[in-house]
Amino acid sequence: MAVIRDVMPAFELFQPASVSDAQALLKRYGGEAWLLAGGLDSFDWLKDRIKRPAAVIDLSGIADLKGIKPWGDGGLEIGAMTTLTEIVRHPVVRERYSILLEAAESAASPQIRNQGTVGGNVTQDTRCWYYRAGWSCYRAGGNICYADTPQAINREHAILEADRCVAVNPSDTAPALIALDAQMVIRTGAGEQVIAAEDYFVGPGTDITRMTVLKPGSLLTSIRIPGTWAASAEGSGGAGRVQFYFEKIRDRNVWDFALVSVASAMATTGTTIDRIRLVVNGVAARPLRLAAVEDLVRGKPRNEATAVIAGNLAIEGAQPLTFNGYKVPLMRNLVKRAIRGVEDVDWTS
Amino acid sequence: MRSIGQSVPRLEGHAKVTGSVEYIHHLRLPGMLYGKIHRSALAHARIVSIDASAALALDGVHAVITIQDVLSLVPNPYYGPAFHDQPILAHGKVRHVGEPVAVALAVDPHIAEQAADLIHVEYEPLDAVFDEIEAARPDAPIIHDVLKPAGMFTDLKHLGGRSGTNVALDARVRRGDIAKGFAEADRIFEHTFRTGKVIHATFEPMVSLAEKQGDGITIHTASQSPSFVRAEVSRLLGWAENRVRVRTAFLGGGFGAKLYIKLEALVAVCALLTGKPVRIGLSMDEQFYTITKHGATVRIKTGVTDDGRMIAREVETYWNGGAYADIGPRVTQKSGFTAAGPYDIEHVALDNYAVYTNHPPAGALRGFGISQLVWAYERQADIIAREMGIDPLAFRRKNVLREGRPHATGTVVTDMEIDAVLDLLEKRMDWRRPFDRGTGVIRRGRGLAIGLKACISPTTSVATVLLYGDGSCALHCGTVDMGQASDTAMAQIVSEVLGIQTQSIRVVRPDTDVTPYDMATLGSRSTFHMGNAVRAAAEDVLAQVFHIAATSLDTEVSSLECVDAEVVSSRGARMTLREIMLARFAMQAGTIVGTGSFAPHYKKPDPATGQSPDVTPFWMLGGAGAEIEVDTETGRIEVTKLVNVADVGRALNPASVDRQLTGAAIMQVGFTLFEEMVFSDGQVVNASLADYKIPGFLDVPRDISAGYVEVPHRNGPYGAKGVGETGVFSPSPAIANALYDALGVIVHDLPLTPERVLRAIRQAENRPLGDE
Repeated sequence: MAVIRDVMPAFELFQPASVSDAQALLKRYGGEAWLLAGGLDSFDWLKDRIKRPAAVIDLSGIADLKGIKPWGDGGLEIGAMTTLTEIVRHPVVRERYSILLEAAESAASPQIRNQGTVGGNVTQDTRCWYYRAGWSCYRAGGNICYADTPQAINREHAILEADRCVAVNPSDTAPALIALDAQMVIRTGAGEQVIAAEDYFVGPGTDITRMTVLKPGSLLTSIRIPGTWAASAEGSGGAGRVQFYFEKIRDRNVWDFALVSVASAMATTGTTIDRIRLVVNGVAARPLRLAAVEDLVRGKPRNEATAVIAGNLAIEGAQPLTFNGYKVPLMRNLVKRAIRGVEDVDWTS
Repeated sequence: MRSIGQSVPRLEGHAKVTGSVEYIHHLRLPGMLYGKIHRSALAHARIVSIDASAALALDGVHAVITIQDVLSLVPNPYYGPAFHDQPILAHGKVRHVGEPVAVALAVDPHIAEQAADLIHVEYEPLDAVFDEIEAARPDAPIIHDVLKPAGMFTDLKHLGGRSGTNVALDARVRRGDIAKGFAEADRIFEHTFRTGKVIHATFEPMVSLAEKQGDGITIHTASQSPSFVRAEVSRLLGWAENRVRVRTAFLGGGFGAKLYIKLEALVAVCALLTGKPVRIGLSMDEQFYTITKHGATVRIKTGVTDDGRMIAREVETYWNGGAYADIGPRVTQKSGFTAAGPYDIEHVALDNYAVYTNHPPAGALRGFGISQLVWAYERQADIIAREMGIDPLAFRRKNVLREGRPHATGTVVTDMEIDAVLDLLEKRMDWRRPFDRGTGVIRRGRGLAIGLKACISPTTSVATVLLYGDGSCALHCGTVDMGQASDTAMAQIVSEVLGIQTQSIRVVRPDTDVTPYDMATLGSRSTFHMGNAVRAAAEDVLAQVFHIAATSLDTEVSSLECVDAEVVSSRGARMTLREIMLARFAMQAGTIVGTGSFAPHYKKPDPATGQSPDVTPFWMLGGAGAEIEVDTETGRIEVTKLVNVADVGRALNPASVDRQLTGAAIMQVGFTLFEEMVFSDGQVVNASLADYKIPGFLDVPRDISAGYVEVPHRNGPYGAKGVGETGVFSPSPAIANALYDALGVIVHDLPLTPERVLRAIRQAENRPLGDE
């Protein structure tokens, strides 16, 4: 057991007013720099002395990173430092991208959403309790996974894409953003780079020490949501009716991470599924877009039979650990619901 | 003036809301050192060496204290309320992860923390045992070489010197002839139920400060038991009790976590060794390694006749006590004897085992072991009722223990309104109404449960009421107000006697130099015991006041009464309390002191049979009803309605009673649905409030309410009984019984996470998880 601590360690604190100033600091401190957004993930790491950066760069003073504005053809650009509460309260998000509202609103608690940012929400580290307790595991640069032993307590860990590390991604907004085909705008030393949301997240096979593509020296500046998946009634735009489904299963109703979550954006004509993007989180080190399931259901009627085959295909290849076998039926059932919906659900979440 | 029965607002309400109330957590003393504890990383190990050189080399570090330093001051450093088994710091070996091994003392908390981290301890690991059943086996690793019962409880004395076992106490009850009972039964049901470990999660973590003053020591501590701390610290130091002063303030929650000795002996020793004031305050995470609720395994076997009468019950309970006994043996004994439930059963055999394991120590947690037992007997009650085709409420009515009948201990039950509690539950749950269980993905169910507790006995409370020269009044009372509104209730009792406004009564809170002895604030005992002492003290003042007034007014004491802070004679003459003080002391001067004490009558149970004609001062009875929705695709339970009903004797302050019952119910909802300490080799892997989940507002059932039955208890102050724990007895089995009603699935273990419910659903469908 690590010695337990409850006060902040000493570090250099910088509060740049522009992205270029932040970049200069990132360059100066390299791997010793820590980017601070809302602080909700960061402060635990720092207080627990598990991560010991020499310099903390607080992004909250950079006006360019905040706010929601129109982008492209009917889309939105959301600054990385925009709070989850601002997203939840934004009228265009409510009207056109309600799946993002639901996902953001399911995160944490009202107080945390007032402080927590969307950039932080998608970039936060995993909740694996062995890793967060400072055990020297693969993800921490060591050479063992404490969560993947026969005695390990791993009910919250991965059932898919496990490599040497079996941690899962905890973000609530990530699956919704991938379902909406969002793009992540990243500033690196070499300039601006735009990548698809689904490529922003990386599994242990790609980089076992990171949850995202962000490397030292780069930062996420904004998230762009295209107009392609804006919710619409049938007929408008001629591309079928777009509907969303988001559900997050957790132990308690507030301030809890997902055991499994699902997000889908689906365009239908009559009962036929024209287009779909389907994502689950809480099952692997990155949110998983279920492309094979999307291919299977495209062109099929939106009904129980389609939902059942979708659910069964979704869990193909799932390999539970000692204590997380229940995630397999949970994921299958949530995928089913994302296709056919569920009657009667009136959860407070 | 009538104060009793009124929802008088809390005396400290405004100060609490405006943030001006004192908590020990905020106290800083001039020149004090901050202590940070270096804790064991292993569950069971011999200590080979402790190297503090790197810590001592750090600037600002004053000292590093180990057991060697402690021994120079306290030759026998073992403490505990039931057993003297817990050393002030690890002595030769560690018995659980997180056990305090050394303390770094520094001028600044940051430095102390850094220093604690630099202490290096070399261990020789020993085999560890965590499960209460395995630990009770003869071949288990032995955690304590020899049992060392404290002298305080005479009924533990016989255990002294016992060795080679982890069973710290076996307590039994025998009534009737259990073999005959099972032979006569038409059906026999046998199940094993379990509850895991949970914690109190007080929002003010444990904190204590000590300072040497003259030839004595003052300990400021967030404690529920200042009188016990004084007795135990003075025993350890070999001092008279009057050299140790223990004071407390409002507590940010207690729930049993802050009882007996926690940090007090350690800070006292640190302050005496260094000559400086010392503060040790725990982080939230450290509380997980300090005290927990007992996990328990309950095997329950019940014989029933074809007409639905329970005639035989055998209950064997193993209590996971962790590495040190704390109050565990009392939990085992005092709750264990209620394991047959609030039922009238002719043949009963109850066996309770307090078992040492290498987990953090277990002690009292709101209910003192009762909820673990109710979980078992009320889950089984519904299984029996369903199997026999009897409505669950009707099954209980057929079997409950009524006025005048002997409890399993032989004590005849009085002043317990069991039928009234069931009637109120039936009404609040609208039990006769047809209930729609649904047919789709979401199913609905409803369930109920009742639980019984015997207030622990014997215990003593003493109070002092003082009347000052201007007619104002103070109450010196050792009851610790930790959120339950005891200050207000005690002031209401004084108000009722003396006719003084409750709000104008000064309640002087626990300080052993000032307030008289009180056993502790625990086990729902304060309203009954301290309430009686306070009433007697106020009546003592009143008698003195009447005596003075009778002389002044030239009348008989019997013609006087006290109304609105005035004494009035039958002839209409009046004197205010101030005038009475002037009449006695000739100027605004003097003090009238009234004292009162209370200790109920009690007969120690026979150790072989657990029989006693007088085992408790009052019976506590609580029932709950729950309606739930369960999502069969995810295993999520939503409690849509929760009703908690209690027999309270008399509600001294109805608003406080309501909050006690509802607060307890919400706490129990957390224990029912998701709270659970998760262990890995003795480490608590979820030792933080991020990973260990207590309920948030969205987890409070949509429709939650409390109800109470008021029939005055013959010995209670104005008929009142304690109510702080009654609300925790029954919600867990009521919710699980509702799940059983909805889907017919049986769960034996808590908590009812989506995972466990989904597993149970799949088990019931004969498709166990893992066949995906």
